[in-house]
Amino acid sequence: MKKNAYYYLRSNSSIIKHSGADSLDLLNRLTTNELSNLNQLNPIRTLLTNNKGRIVDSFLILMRNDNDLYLLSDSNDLSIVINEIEKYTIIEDSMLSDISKNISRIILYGKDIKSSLQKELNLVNENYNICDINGYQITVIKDISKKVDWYEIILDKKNISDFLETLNSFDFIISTEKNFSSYCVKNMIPSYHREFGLHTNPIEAGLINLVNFEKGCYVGQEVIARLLNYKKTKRSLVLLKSNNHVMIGDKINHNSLTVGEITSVDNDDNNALALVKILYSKKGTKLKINDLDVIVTKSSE
Amino acid sequence: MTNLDQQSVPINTIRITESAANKINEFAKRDGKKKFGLRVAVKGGGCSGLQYVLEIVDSADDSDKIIDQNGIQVFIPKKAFVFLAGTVLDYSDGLNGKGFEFQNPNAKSTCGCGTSFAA
Repeated sequence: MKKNAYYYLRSNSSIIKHSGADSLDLLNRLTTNELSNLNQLNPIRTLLTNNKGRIVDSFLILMRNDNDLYLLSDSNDLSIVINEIEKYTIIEDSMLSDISKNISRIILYGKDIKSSLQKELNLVNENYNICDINGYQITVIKDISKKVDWYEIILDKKNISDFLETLNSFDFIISTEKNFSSYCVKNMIPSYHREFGLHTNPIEAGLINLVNFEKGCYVGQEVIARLLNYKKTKRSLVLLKSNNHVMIGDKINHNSLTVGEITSVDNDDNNALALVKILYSKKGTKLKINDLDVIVTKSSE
Repeated sequence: MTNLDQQSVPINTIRITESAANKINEFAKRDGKKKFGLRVAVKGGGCSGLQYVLEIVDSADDSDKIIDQNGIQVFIPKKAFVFLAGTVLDYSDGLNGKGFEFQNPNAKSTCGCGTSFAA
């Protein structure tokens, strides 16, 4: 029986190298999560928001050594992220560079992924491991911010063919973009440009777990705190179930009122993610897409 | 609080009010510093994106712009000066006082607590 262990090779690895003595301190002052606990064995995901509290990017930060961080970004356009951080770099010792073309990035997921990786790669640490495979090194990172077992592997691009063969020899299943997207939909994992981005704040995008409300100021903090404390968020991320296919961009209605829009679909099981007005985002709410009935099965609210 | 007319500060300098200078001297004396300067800078961070930095230091860095104000030597990194030109640093004491306060003509908006700004 095949393992429930999948790998998805990102077409753009989207990795930024952030160097300099002030790089970590700068990111801690700019982004939503508390980064003072970041160390080599403890990578942390955080959000860069703008002064309107909208999400510029979500990235997982790895400490490679005392002066070098890797930012594993969700965005495919790193220039936006780099420009946003550079905008706030005044006196800091900080340098950003896009190193995506030299590094491959693979996402691993599935019910058996944790046990399979532990068995095949002999992982010693919980969240960060460097492993030797056929004479080269790979870095295995567990992204604990996801609500499921989710690992990322980065390695030198020149070794990718060999490593993919190795994953096949472990009986891991290759995931297409469609499979990967379906998995994200089922597990309510928001994707960049769809469920989150400059059109959303962390609360409505279901990414509130990446915001530390005790850390003090970061860019957009006042807006996000106000949205949360005064319950001013207008939309919420929901998982919808229907009995037929829906499409990204479909408008969701309640009576004759448009209350939301489909952002991602899993047409294998007729699930979809959508951003819906708070009033209609409760679990069990019945809504319509044209003549098709849909029901809210989960809400991030 | 000393009320200084913002427009009276030339854009090639910053102004330290007498009350701010007195407080800085008090802090330096408490720290046992006889020769010191006030480093005023801007760094990334805070709700609005740019935060003020105030620090009593022994000497200036090579790239600092040095300004004398009310008996205080002010050291400003050249990269930060663009964001600080024409600024007044004031100090207000007492129950309703705000402590050190920047009146910065370059600030398009300021966060609620006044420690960060957008330019």
